[in-house]
Amino acid sequence: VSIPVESAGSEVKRASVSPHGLGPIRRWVDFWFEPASPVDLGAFRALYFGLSFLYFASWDFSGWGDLPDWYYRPTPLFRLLGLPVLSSGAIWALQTAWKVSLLTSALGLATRVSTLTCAALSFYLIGLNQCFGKTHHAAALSFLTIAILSLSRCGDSCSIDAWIKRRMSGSEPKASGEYGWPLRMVWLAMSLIFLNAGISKLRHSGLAWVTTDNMSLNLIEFAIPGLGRPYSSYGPELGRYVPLTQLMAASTLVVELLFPLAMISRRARLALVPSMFLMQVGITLFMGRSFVPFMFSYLAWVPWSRLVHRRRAQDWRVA
Amino acid sequence: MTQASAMSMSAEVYFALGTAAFLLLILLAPEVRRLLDGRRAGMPTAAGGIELGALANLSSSAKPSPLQVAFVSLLAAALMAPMFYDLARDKEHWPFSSYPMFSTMRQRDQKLLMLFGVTESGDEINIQANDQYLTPFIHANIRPIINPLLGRDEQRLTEFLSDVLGRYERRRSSGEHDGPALKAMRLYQTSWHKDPAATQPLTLKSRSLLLEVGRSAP
Repeated sequence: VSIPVESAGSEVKRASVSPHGLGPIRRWVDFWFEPASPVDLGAFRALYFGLSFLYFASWDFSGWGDLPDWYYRPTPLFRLLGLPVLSSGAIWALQTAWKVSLLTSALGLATRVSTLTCAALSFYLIGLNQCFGKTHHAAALSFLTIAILSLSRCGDSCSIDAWIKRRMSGSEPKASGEYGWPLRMVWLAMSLIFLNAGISKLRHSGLAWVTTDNMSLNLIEFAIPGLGRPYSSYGPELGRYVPLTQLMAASTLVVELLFPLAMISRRARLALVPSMFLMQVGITLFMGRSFVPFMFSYLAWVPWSRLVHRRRAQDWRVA
Repeated sequence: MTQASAMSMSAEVYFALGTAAFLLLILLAPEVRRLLDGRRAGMPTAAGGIELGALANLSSSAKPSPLQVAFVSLLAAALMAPMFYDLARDKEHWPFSSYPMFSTMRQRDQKLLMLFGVTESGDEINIQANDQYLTPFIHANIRPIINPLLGRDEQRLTEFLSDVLGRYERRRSSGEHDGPALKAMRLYQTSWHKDPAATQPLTLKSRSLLLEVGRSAP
């Protein structure tokens, strides 16, 4: 997209400076600090924490506190930090504080304190959930997203803090790179996860992951009672159509491997992000591996300020 | 050079190449270059979903300070480095991982450990079918705990089954789930056959009882 920079009569001149003279550091900086509206980050914060609060509200981690010691298999980071399994009562108190911090982060109330508290408690509680035999891959992004938001100025818009500040000073925050990098950091986290998942498939199975009946067997397997929690019983039925499942496998691999392009290309973003989202919906539906909290992070790809401005423009036209 | 150090070297090379390729991808992207075109001309661009109206408000003082750049760069590196390291080593260091889920080939014949509860009437229920029965575990935790104990530590295996049974009953008594009363817990080794072309794509070939633990007298 080339942007009109100057109108002289009917002639529109366009910016055309060669990028070849720019150094990689400048490109790096401009990638992260491309100015963004505070609404993009604020809306993402409000929705992400709000949905996480609703999702995790009924979760209870306190049961980990009264298991025999030998169940505990700390992850490397928990072992390195020497983090213990607290008593059930202490875990219950922490998870209550965590849920409150999810809610106050969503509302944007004392946002910096709320999000930092939430990040610290997420590290312990979500991390503890990985220390009893099974690493739940989908949970990692929840912690990473919360940690990224806690280090950002995500409370400058769509928050009680911003409302109070506006009432007191009357000033609105301007677009800034400070509101862009946290979203791009979430994009980076998601891109790395999908890229690693794609490469892992090639490493462990090669192209046979696509060309054989592997995906078909995968879908059929989840009909074994208790193995997953499929929302639909069509998975095993789908598994009977091997060419279709090979197509699904090929699409999965291609989208995972190409996903990092979504960070830098708008066209790629339009194709890859919805495709990956739909694939995870499919996995949840047919295989019963829930990616629900993971899927909240897709909200970071939505240009919220555009939607808000479009809505305002429509209202203005109506008025 | 030993095999171990050669492997370690290749992991480091993978790591360095992965990081470099990723950075290169970002820096050489046409969108980034176009964005920089706009910047050099001193004008806002529409790239990245940014509102031009909002950009017009951007003052020159909004440029990031070296400290901000260093902070964000360190954060990006802190995200990329362990991810590429785990990818190179095929390991997991939560919250980072090589994300190997579903990456191995599925076999047509599969063995699977399954837990069943025995009701007062002697019927069996698959207690892995409902996570409420297993809390704080979920169905996915069960096999990674049982597998290393099987054939090696029967005492702990028995302790685990007793614990699951005790928890189930305590939670049932307090109304946290509505499952039937259980008098025992059984661990089975099951064997399944998958065949997409068969009338029944999934069949249970065999099931053998490995261990049974009864409820202790109150």
